[in-house]
Amino acid sequence: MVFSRLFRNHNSPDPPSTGKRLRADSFADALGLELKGVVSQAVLRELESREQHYLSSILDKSHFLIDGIVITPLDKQASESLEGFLQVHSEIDPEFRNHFFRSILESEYRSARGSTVVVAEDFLPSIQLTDQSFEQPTQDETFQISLRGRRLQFHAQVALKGPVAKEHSRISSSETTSDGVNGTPGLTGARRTSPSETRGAGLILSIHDAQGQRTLELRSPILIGREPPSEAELEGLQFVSLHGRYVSRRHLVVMNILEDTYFFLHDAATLSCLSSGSQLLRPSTIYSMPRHSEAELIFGMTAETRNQAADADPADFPRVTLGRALGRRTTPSSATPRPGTV
Amino acid sequence: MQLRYATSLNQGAEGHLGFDAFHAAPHDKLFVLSDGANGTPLGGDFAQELVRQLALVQEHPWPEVFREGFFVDEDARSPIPKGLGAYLYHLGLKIEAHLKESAATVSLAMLENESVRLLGVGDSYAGIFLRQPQTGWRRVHWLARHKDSQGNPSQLIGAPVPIEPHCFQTNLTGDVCVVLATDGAGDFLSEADFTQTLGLIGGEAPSPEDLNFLTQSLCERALRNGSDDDISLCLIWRRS
Repeated sequence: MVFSRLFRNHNSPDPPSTGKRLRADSFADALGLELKGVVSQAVLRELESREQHYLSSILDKSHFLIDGIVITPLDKQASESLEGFLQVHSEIDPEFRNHFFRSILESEYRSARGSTVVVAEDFLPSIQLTDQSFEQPTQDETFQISLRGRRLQFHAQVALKGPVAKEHSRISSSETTSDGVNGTPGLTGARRTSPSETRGAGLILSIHDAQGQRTLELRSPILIGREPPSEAELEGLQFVSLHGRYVSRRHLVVMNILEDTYFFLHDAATLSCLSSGSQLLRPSTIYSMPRHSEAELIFGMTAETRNQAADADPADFPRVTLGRALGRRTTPSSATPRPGTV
Repeated sequence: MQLRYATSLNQGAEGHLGFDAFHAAPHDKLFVLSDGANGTPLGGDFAQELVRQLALVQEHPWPEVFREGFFVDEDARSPIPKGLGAYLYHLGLKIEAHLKESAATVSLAMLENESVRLLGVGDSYAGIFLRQPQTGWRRVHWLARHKDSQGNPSQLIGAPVPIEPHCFQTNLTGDVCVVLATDGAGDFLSEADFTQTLGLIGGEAPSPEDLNFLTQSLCERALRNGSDDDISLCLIWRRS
């Protein structure tokens, strides 16, 4: 039996006598079987009361989850047996209680109609002692119970939640791509994001320099420059190496503050940048990136060369386009503004 | 006529923002969903008040205007929606008098035995799906939305801009499902998400629990698809 094995696994390394061991095994098996049966019945009872509210097509694509199981000993003897059993073995193995209760739960319960209850791996039932748990059955009661057959020692009450859609019932995204019809109202252009995009807000840098083009997704703050500084010098900044003729060793700092992105020339920068709108960045000035749009920066541009910006060779004047990575907002501030005054 | 509905409101991970509000007046077959502008100080409160006001049909005669003053086709512009727009504009200003500088969208559905009416202001969603025995559920119409070039709503109730609601009315019998959704849900769901989810109903009559499961499933899908806004969605099923 499972419980015998469990019992052995969590017992002391110094085995007791065989007779005592067999009695203990027998008790553990009987207790486990009783609890398993009581819990199973309670789960199915609750499942059947719930499933009747749902279409079978929904039950096929979903499962219920266990929200809670409370086991109540029905008399004093059952309470003492269970508590004594758990206490003795918990002294030997502090994890015994968890292992034992986990072992009385199935990973899944299924009703006759086909609906299922899934049990989370780390879920554990709780024991609740009521007034009934301290009552001693009279001799007459014990006699009557014995006559009827199996004596019920425990009662279980189960709370379910759900149903929730099964993961494998997810509709493939490939079937739901945009049809891209211009002006069509509705959801045909639903935006899709990759898991990496949803992990957190950050910055997307599209770089075109002497080494070609690449796109990076990074968390702010970022230092862009020619040579990576030492770890101590970085002080939490992520360094992005830019390859080009007119790039300072430490050139530009980019950072997100709440929902806004700011950039400025590093103190040590000897060269500037030309930003979108032909603005030449000035030292000690903080610039903000427009929301919902990108900022393109051409590194190394000067007042003299800015007129050739459109034709500038990225190997000399690298281009970096800053954009916000799609991510979970931590505040509602990026959000919907009130349309302006007429 | 059988009419059932379920709604999932302000779903989302990591402490959703709670700017969406819903109110139903089932006796009047009227359902209102609103998304408070979260760039405004009291957008959530505004949405709450707006849906409550719009669903108070006993106190506001406007649903009659809504019923009678409807045009059938969005292209068939008529003076009536302007009257409706003026009504909503002034209602918005009335609420805004207490909830300063705040505003909200509205998506509204009214379902009669043989007709469905939709009204929308802002960037929330309202759509109609119809079940056909041969082909299953298919979209009948998505209401146009008010969006500017930046992707923000160009009209909101409570904003000092002229309100010209998008309206749609159609006569439909059989099994119909109306979807009201805020952009936190609608921007992250596709039409196929809806048709396939509604496919679970098939030709059966869903219970409120079924509809609740479907709204939850759609909200969870929007969340998995990357929604970082309040996710709110209402499904209204009607059989006639």
